[in-house]
Amino acid sequence: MAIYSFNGVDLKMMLRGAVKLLGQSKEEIDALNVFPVPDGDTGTNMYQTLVSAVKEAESVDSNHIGLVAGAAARGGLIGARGNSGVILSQIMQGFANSLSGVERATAPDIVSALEEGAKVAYRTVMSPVEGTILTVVRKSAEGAAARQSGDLLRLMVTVLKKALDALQETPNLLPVLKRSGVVDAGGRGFVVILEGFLRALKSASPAAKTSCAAPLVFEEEPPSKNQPVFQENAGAINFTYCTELLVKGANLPLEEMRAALSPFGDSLMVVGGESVAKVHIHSNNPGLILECCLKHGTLHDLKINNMAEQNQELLAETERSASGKPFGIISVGAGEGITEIMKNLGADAVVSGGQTLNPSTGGILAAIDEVPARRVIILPNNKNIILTAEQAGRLSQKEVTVIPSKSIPQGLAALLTLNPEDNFAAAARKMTKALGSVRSGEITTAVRDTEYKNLHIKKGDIIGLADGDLSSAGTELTAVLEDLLQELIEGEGRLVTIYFGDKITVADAEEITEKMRQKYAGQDFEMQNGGQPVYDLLISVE
Amino acid sequence: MNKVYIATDSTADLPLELINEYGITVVPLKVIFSGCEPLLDGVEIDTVEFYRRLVENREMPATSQPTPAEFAAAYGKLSAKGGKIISIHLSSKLSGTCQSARMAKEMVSGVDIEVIDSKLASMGLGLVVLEAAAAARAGKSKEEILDVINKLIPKIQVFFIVDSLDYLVRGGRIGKAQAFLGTILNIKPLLYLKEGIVNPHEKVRGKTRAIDRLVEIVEETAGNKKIKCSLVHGNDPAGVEQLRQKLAAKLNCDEPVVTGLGAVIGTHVGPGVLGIVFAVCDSKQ
Repeated sequence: MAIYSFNGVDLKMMLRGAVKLLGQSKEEIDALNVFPVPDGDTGTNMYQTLVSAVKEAESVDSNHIGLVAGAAARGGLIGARGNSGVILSQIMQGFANSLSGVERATAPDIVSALEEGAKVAYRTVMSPVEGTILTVVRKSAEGAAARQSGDLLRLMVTVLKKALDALQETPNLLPVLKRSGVVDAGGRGFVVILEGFLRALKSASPAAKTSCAAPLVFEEEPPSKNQPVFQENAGAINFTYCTELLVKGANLPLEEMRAALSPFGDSLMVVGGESVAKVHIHSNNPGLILECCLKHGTLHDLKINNMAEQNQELLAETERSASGKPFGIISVGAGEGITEIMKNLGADAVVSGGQTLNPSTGGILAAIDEVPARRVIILPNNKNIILTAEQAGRLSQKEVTVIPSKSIPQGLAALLTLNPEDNFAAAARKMTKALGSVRSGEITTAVRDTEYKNLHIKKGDIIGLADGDLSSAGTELTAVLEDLLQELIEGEGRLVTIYFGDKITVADAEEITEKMRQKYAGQDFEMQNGGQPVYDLLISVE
Repeated sequence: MNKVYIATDSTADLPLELINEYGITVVPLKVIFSGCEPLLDGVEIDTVEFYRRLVENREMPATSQPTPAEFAAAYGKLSAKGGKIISIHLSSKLSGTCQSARMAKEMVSGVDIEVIDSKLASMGLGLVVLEAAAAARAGKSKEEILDVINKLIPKIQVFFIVDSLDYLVRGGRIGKAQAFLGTILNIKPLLYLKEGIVNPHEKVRGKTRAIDRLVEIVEETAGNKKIKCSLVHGNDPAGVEQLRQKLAAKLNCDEPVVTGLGAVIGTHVGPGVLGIVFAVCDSKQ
């Protein structure tokens, strides 16, 4: 069997194959962690991102591959979670850019699309690291370019083979992978997606290709243990603005407009003819709707109604604060105590998320929309959420600055600098500067055996991380904390704050803090109820 | 004779020895604990007694500015000795004291009185008064003394920490404080005087670090230039001693004037206050 072109239906089928296989493999990918800490779940994040892409692609009723790829890219953009999810969404973006306007893609088209995907992905990351998903994507694209076959099935086999080779190489490029004896998790995710494509192609009979495919059942994401402040799946977003308008132009591409507008809300209608189209949609981004329509013609009879207006009081209050607030702040965090402290320090919204619960681009975007200010500062407070926050910032109509905070203590130190006298730029500058003023410690339980530096760690051991790097391990919390503090504390007169998690009792926390107070007599100690999951203790030293 | 007398009000928080040494006339404001007679600040109630009662009563006393008649009486006494008067006062944005003094000036005819709004408070005002009094004692003319005062005022900086912003907020003496209201994480709000009003500067966690930060701020501004300086405290001799030692180790400064806050300033900032007032001296001095 040879295939000489892909259309939109083929792409949807391949995407379904990929999402199915990634769903089956996500736990295996999650386990490819460098550190034995409960991690940001690369596999789960990529899966969630792909699910969002596929849902969007499925909503396009066309066999035009450019339109389907475009929809998938938009879905990916909104649903992106974690660093690997954001990079995956950017690969899809590049893919879609390259295929834009293409109805049936031939082998050279697919090669170009892969190359563009790799290029866009590299651009997303400020300092690209080799030995990650980036390398795997780039090598796949290079392999494809060298294959020179008109048969797409053979081409895809080559791409997968090159991707696998590149994946095996990742430990040689990134020493940290070699030490942990794993390949790169994001790279593995990409390989699984390619495998899914290929399986779908191979199993597709000509009949299956033409008949309507069985509806996909997506695995729903597990409900969060903590009450999320903002719901993250698109279905739960309340679309506030009913936006209606007429677009006048020549040869209006109704289908294309429909596809472009659908990610922004529900109850979408694009009806009319070649010269006038009526657009109706419920959305949270009426501005984006208008921008989108403006590309196709002139706008008339504009109507934007706020459907949530029945709650007049709340609205009035929101507007009042919107007018009085030069900028808003969104902080990512988990745990009742941590959330409370963040709000008390001036965060307008706390997006639930953290180590094992990375919020999606769409989730952060919803929070940006809800903050009653036109300028927004985001504190991701986790290295795996920074890219997602940046992506949300790019998608938002508001002016957004992401402060690259990698830990809760860094986020709190940044919030502490807030001064009502400062403007947006000054506040962002001070917050960024504050990141370096604090050292962060984390204590959690190992999820698997590992050797790291001189530490022999067994699953279930208590491990301590200093600024994200594994630094102490043992079976007894106090001893691990003592070693960790040894690493974190420099000099005298530091303020050490211990935020205890949801599995530690107040009495235990007090006892531990008192022991540390005695052991490190030259330092000031403070204890706070963080209530965070995953980490028994979070420590800041400043 | 062209002798110039220097007058001020009790919110300058000047120590009694210096008031006597320089012959400064101090018109007291009043503090009123609920259900009690008004007490003259610094005359009928001192720092220690005030804070004892503040903690004991667990309620905020009221304060009131001197009446124009009280100022007029003080000016009258000075004019009887012959000479001119320079009357320097608490920031007009924090109190109507300056307004009372100006009205008194209208009431006392035939006397040369200059009323000055220092836009400062506590020893910020105190340092200006001391410089003016020194110049007066040296026999400088009214114009020369006014020149000293006008040049010194913009140079004076006042930074201080408080235990809680409650007192400043309740007294309506702080502008944009909302974001500073958090009392979690052992935050010490660090404030400063800017254009006559109290403004939030930053939040510091823990008293020791807050003291270090005060010293650091002075260092950042002054470098190794010589400074004039004064330390104030709300009945916290141990805290102010810590501040003095840290400052002495790092800065080029003569022995600072250390003083307790009077009852009126104390009412508006509450307990736990530690502050530093300083001015960078001209290089030629």
